[in-house]
Amino acid sequence: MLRYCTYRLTASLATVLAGASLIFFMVHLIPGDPVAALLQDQFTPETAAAMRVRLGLNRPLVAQYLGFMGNLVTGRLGTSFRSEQPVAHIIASQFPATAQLAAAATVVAVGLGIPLGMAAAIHRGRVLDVLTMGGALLAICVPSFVLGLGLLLVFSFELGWFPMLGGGTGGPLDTVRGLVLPALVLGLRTGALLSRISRSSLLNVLGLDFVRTARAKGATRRSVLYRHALRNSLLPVITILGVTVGHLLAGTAIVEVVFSRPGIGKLLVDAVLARDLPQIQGTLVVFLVIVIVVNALVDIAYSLVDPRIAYA
Amino acid sequence: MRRSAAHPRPHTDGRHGCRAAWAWLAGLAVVAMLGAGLGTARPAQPTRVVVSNDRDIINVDPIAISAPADYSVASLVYSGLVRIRPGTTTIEPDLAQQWEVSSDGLVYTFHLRHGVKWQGGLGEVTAADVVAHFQRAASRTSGSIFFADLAEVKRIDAPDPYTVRFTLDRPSLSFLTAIVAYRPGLIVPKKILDTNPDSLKTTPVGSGPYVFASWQQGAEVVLKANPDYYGGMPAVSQIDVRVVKDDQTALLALRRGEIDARYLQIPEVQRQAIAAQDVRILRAPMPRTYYISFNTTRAPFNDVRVRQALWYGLNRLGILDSLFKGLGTFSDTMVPPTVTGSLPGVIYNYNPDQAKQLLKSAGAEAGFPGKTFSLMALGLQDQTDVASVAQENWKALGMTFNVDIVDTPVFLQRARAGNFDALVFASLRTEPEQFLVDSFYSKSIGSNNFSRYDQADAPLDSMRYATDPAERIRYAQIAQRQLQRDAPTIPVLNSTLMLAYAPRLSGVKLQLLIFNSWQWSVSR
Amino acid sequence: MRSDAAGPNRRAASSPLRLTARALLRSRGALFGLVVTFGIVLAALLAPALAPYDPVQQHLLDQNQPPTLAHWLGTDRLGRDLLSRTVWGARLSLVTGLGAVLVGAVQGALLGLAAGYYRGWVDGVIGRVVDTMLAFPLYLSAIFVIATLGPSQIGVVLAVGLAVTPVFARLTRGQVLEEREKEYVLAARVVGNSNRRVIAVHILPNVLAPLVVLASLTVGDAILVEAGLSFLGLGPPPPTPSWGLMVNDGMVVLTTAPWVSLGPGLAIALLVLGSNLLGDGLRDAFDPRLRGDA
Repeated sequence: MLRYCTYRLTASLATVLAGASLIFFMVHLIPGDPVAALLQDQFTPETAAAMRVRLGLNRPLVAQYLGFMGNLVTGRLGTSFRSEQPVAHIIASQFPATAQLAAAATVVAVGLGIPLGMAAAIHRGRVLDVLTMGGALLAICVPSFVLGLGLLLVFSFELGWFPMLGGGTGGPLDTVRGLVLPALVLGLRTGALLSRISRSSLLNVLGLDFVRTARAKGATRRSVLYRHALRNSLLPVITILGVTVGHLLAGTAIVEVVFSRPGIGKLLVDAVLARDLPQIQGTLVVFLVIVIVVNALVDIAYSLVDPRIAYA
Repeated sequence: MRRSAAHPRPHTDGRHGCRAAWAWLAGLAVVAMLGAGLGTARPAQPTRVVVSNDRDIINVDPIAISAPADYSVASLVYSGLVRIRPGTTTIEPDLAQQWEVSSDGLVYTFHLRHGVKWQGGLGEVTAADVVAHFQRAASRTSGSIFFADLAEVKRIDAPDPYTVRFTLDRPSLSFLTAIVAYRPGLIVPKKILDTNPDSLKTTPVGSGPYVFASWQQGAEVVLKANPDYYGGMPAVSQIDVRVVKDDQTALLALRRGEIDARYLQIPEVQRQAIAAQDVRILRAPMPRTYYISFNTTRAPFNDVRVRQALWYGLNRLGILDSLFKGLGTFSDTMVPPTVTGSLPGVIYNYNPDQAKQLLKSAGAEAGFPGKTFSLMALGLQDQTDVASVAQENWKALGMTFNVDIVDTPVFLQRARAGNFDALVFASLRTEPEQFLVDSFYSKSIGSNNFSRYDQADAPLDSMRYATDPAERIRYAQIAQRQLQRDAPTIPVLNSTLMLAYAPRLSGVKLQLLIFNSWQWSVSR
Repeated sequence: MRSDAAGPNRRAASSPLRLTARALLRSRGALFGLVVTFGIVLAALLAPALAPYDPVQQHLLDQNQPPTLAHWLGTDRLGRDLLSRTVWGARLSLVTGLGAVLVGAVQGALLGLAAGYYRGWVDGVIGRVVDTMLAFPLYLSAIFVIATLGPSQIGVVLAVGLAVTPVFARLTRGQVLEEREKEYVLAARVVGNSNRRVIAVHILPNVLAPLVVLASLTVGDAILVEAGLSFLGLGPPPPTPSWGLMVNDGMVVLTTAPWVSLGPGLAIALLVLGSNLLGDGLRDAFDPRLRGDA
């Protein structure tokens, strides 16, 4: 067990470093001069040259790369071109908002998706199944920004049930109210995926031998369901949860823009548009680390749950 | 390179936020003004006001401010030696109670108020602070992006704790405007410069009417009234500056009461604001001007007849009516009509036949079939719309343009390198005459002279170094006439700056807001 | 429920292709998906004929019109006909979606074939790279690549293509691992065929089926990502009739002319729905258990 954990974490570390290197090199291929963007109308050749030196942009690429990796290893992510603040600080300050949103979306996804999916499996072929799967399909197909705009228009603007703007100060009740629509939009797609998977997984399990055996032995339908089927069908779902973190993180960019919330998704998009190279690198690395760590944890959890899994 | 360091630089439109925040500032000024205790017998004013920028602050250190959102916050936290009275072009005292200019125009002496306190318990504002601040602003190595503005300053010293003396290299009519409380003129405490200057990027500490209370990154800046402000405690005790990226959402939020004021730039949203019953409007006469510049070093745009033809072939009235819903004006000169000395009259009325004649005389009777030119524009809706219409209009002349949408950093890089055929841009000019120099002077090629035009240096030089305002205007007009004839740039449209605000802020009297008036004033 | 009851002298089973097709047609969902998708494909192919106006032609006198006789789907902010733009937009979305998937599938298949067949260090290296790429959510990879290439249609195709490559690679590798142990492959190698020939002629055709299924399922995702990127301003520039861009365009008139955003939004949903249903149907059709012949 311990060996597996160590192996998994080491592999993750290697992936992070490889990924970070990839990120660095691709980011530096971005066209457009960041100094011009920073100075805007204060731009003169002298000011630009001075700024380039200050930002370290005049060093050769390899030196910049080594500097980046060196910083990374010590936990620093460089300094933003725009604000000259440490990127790590900027991300840290906006991370809670995204984490909040992601957590709320996960609650929506898991709380709606899994139960509905399993219910659909149990009542296969009937109205609930059709409705749930139909709804799930729609949730996957409608683009999140369309859904978001629609909800914003109807529930925030016309009906006023929820605030239009996210972020900002306010009591806990305000925060929750502000989270409902964005979490819904973000979580619905993942919830739909989860519901489909849990449905098919449960169906699979229900068809397996050991279930038939249990039934043959006289166990009631319900006990079979709870004691055997559900637990076993959760395994694929756990795997998918790892992937859903990735989906959720990715979706935050659009949701944060549509609902005017702060967060690292929007931070990334703004950084790309502004050619803030360190910010782009830093944010992508953070995303990478989160996804990899979650995946590693999921693998470890998986191996705990299913003793048949050794490392592949 | 000798730059006219005197004027606050005009604001070339750049990124997402650039445009918007500059102007809501004007509204904020008005809000702050009435909040500032302009009178005691006021109807009940809201004590907390929520305004909206379309971008978050990034760096509010006065020597490095290059974005309106940053300026909008800094201008409330800091004071300057002098400032411009809102609603006017008059320079009035701020930290400096009075000042004298020597007869040769080389020495400016400012006398500071006594007893002005820094926020945060840092003591009194003295001449030492002012000297340290301007030395830093004028230094090429401190990270200041305004050193060129102060290039004419030879020496700064403080004969006593309440007197500051600037000695210049040569007399300049615009020195006062250079140090006005606009960006480098915003004065920071020496104590912080000595101990922790980097903190000024994100934590401004000044002597102005508001204190920087908190900042939730990406979302909101909270400013609280400064009880020790020398002009008296502002009546609006808290200003929340919220970030809302797009105009439409901001207007909807305004109508729902979630924010109180916002500057609108998208014409479609401006129209909605006008039509909405629950929103009040304030229109600024200082416009935001849209231009199309040609690269005069590239064929066929090096031929003045081609440029003039394209000017005649652009249906500006159509653009005004359809895209901007009539909210604006157009003129034939680079200096907006509301500024003294602007050339009146329109010569280049929409006339496709005239355009074709000109093309014919340039040897291109059927236009340039088979060739495609690039029309570069930023990916902002109003600008791409202008580009789209221009593209349509010019297709009829036989000239095909491809609208090349790029984002700000690429736009600026290509524009400055001359890597385009034509481009669309928009700018809010703070100082129109300085704008002429910035955009058409030969030494500005490679910087903000996108069109690479160099034929107006003579009148522009005379204008810059004129010793009397009337003479200045005269030369400015000569330059404008020449630009009109040579057509390196088409002034497409002057659009209305519009501030939309909630009825609960009423009592905001309609004022003629000009661009320099975001420095708010306090009654004395 | 095999409907081709075989007599003793008849071939034991219909060809797999026919079986698949039949299974596909039996499912209502798949049928619907097929119809919708091909309908949109047809509309895209016939765009020049179907579109009554030039999609970028402005009619500034007719801005923001609701559906009328002159403009069946109404007009947008600049007076451009929405029907024409939607139809041409279909072309763009399909090209982007299919293009991206094609890029990803080809790259992924090549990587997977190499990794699965040669194993050893080739597999190790490719595996590491693929894992790194897989760690990244689709959207982020795409944003990342777009940042490098600049907003454009070709950029989106390459970005999304690159982003989906690892999925195809992993699938292909798994399939290849399975196939390479089979007798016909061993036979081919024994006979002396070069490795490349074995891969190309023997293994590849047999791993195509799952690839096709994955491709059809991925098209939907690719289209959604393209729409999202356009919406964020990172996709093809105006006045391109890209559906995502059209939704963004219409945001400004959301309260006064909602059809400008709604139309393309629904079109995106429809196309994604169609391709997803088709993909589901194909997957079920290829699955021997569900097809009823195992």
